[in-house]
Amino acid sequence: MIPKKIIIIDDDTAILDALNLVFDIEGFDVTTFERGTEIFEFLENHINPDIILLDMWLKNEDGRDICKKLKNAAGTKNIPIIIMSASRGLEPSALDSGADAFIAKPFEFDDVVDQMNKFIKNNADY
Amino acid sequence: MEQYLKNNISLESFITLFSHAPNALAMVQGPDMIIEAANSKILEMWGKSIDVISKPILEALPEIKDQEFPQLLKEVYRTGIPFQGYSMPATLVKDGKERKYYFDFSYSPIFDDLKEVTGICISATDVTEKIHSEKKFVESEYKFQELILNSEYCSAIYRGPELIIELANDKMLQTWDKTDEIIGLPLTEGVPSLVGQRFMDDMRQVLISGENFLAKEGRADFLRNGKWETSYYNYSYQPIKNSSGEVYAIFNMAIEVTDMVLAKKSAMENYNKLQGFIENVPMAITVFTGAEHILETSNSGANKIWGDLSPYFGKTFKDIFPDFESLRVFEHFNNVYESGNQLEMKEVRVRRSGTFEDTYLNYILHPTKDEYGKTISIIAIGYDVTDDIKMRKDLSLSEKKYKNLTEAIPQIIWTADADGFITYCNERLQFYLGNDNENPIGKMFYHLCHPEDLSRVQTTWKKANENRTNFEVEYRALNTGTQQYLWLLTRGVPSIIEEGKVVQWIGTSTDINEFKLLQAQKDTFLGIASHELKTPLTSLKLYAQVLERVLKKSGDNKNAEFAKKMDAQISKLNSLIVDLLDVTKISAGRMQLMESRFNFESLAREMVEEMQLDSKHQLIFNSNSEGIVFADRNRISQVMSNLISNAIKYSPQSDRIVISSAIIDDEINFCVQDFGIGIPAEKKEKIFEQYYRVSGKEQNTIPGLGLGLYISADIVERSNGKIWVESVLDEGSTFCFSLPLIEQD
Repeated sequence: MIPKKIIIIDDDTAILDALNLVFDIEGFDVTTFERGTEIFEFLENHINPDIILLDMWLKNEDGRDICKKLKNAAGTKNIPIIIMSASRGLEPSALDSGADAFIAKPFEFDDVVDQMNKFIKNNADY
Repeated sequence: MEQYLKNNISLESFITLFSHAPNALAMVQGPDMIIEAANSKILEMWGKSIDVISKPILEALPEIKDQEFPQLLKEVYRTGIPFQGYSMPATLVKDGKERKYYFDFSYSPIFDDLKEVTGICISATDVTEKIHSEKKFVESEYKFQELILNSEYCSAIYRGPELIIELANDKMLQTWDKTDEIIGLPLTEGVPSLVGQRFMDDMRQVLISGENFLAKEGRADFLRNGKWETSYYNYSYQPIKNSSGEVYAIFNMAIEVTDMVLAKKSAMENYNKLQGFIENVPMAITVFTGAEHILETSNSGANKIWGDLSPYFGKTFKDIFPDFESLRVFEHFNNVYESGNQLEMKEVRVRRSGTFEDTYLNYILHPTKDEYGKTISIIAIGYDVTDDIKMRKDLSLSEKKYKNLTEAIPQIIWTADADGFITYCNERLQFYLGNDNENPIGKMFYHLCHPEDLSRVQTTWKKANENRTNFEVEYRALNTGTQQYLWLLTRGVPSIIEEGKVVQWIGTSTDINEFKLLQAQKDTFLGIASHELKTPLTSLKLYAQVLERVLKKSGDNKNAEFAKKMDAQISKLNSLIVDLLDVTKISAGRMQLMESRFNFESLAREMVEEMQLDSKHQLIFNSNSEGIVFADRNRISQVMSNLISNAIKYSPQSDRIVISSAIIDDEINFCVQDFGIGIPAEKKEKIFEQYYRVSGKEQNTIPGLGLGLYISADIVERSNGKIWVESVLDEGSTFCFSLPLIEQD
């Protein structure tokens, strides 16, 4: 079985490392970025991931803007995006920006996987 | 006769006798009645001279031709029978004037020897005067009687010592309430009601003394129609005397003056009343007469100020008040006397008798005038306003003190009327809210309120005014100078309540701007801090989870369990941070509710099941009904979770929690009953406040920031629900909240 591709974007390296580690253990193909802009460059040269986990507050960037950009681009609009934030109240605006789901930090890893599975399953065929 | 004369007296003597007789005498002879002799008396009576001698009588006295006399003379001459006439009227001409006289007269025949009548001797007495007086007397008696009977006055005549009623006019009979049947009866019998009254004695006195008796406004009581009635009379008893001066009757005249007496009486009563009023009125009243202002009278009010003034009656104003201070008052008197205009003076300082204390009077000088408009006297009405002035002084002093005090306080202090309009405000208002707010009187106490805070302030004020309770409200007020808003904490207390209505509010407005800034800083800080705390917590939690998984995979279940516990503690830490963050959101008004329709009962059941997983207490869930609400499902679950975890936390010694959900009317509730430490009654309200924790011996052993109920209350209230607690100390508490049900589709 081909490992599911996941891109994680978070400016906090500790979180990034931890997620990298735990998803790796769970058998995901993990790519991480600290800055949002990096993903656009990356996606130009790589196939789309199965899912993107996107932090809302990045250094000098708003995760929602990145989400919008991805969802507005024809090549990336079908990639499921889950926005993560410590601010639970931002869920509506996250969904408004086109995100498929919202996860409040800190989270139970299992909850994240459950959420992801909802979207990844749909694309199981490709 | 001739013979007789011949025999007895000389002719000369006879003539002398005849001529000088006091009676009027004449002698006529023959059938023609020739006047033979006539003495001077008869000539005078006839009004004729001696020339009538030798003339027939009808020739001498032609005026008697058509009167009775010639016939009478003829009769006597013919028959020889003398004739006596009494009071016979005769018209005689005297000095060319015809007059009527009355005579007593006799015609005596004179016989000759043959007993033949030869002549007649006429003797006459003039009784004209007597007749006149007799007539007059009869007339006057008649008139008198008439007078009495027709008199407008009560008149009566009583005769003799028995006072026989001889005459009583209708007026008198009416007065007695009698008819003329009593005429002829003694007065005491005819008018028995008079017995025992003074009249009988008065009349007896008149009978004895023979002097007039006059009485004014004498009281008389008469039995009229079976009732005693009191009347008043002016009356007189006049003695009627006989020729020898003895009183044989009393003429009584009386005029009823009852109306007058009663009017006088009532006037007197009124006068007395007025006198009493003037005497007792708490004002000084004096009357001064004339240009010299002579004191006529004074009342007790005046005497109170100046001492007894009665020794000064008749003295001039200047005599009575010689001191310098009265000089001005004297001038006022002069002005009023001369101008005739009333003068009103206020707070005039006068010298009180016997003291050197200042006395102040308000007074009116009122001129009384004669019919030509000239001032006769001046009524001075004054009242002592010394106490008022003193009080005003004291008041203004205490007001000053009070004002200084209020100005010394850093708060804005104000009073407002029932509708919240400022009636007083210290100068702190300008200090805090700008110098152009110099006159806030008449404005609402919150007139500079920020528009966003206005409705909240109005609601608080309205509620306090309706319930007449203290209120406390925080709002931003505009400093009109800097155009910046300043946070104020305004407290109001209903200070005067009359007839259940607040008449005055006392309020303070405290500058809490710095506090608010600090609070905002704290909230910002908490917001940032909690967010920042979450970031390492997120990775920490992930590592704990990684660790658990790795250990599990390697078969080290024991250590995997530690890692799991670590993860659980990190979750608790997170929930504390979440609470703090929620509080800052509530303070900043940034808590957003994501409302949706959901089944309240199934959420409750879900929460109970979830909480049961981590709890040693047995969670018993009773529910009998399902209902749909419209609220933030996550937040409501937070409230349920908070109530259940509190119940677990605060009942460490018990082993069960009873949770129920029920529909009451159009609400659905959620109640959590524990059997723990309970809450003292006086703290039941406080428990929903920020950072509040039930104090007690176990307080320190129970973890928590004291934010859960505060957040829960905010969520419930913002979801249009209610939250409350019932509790018995040491027995346990039941926390409940309810939400309005919405109709199911």
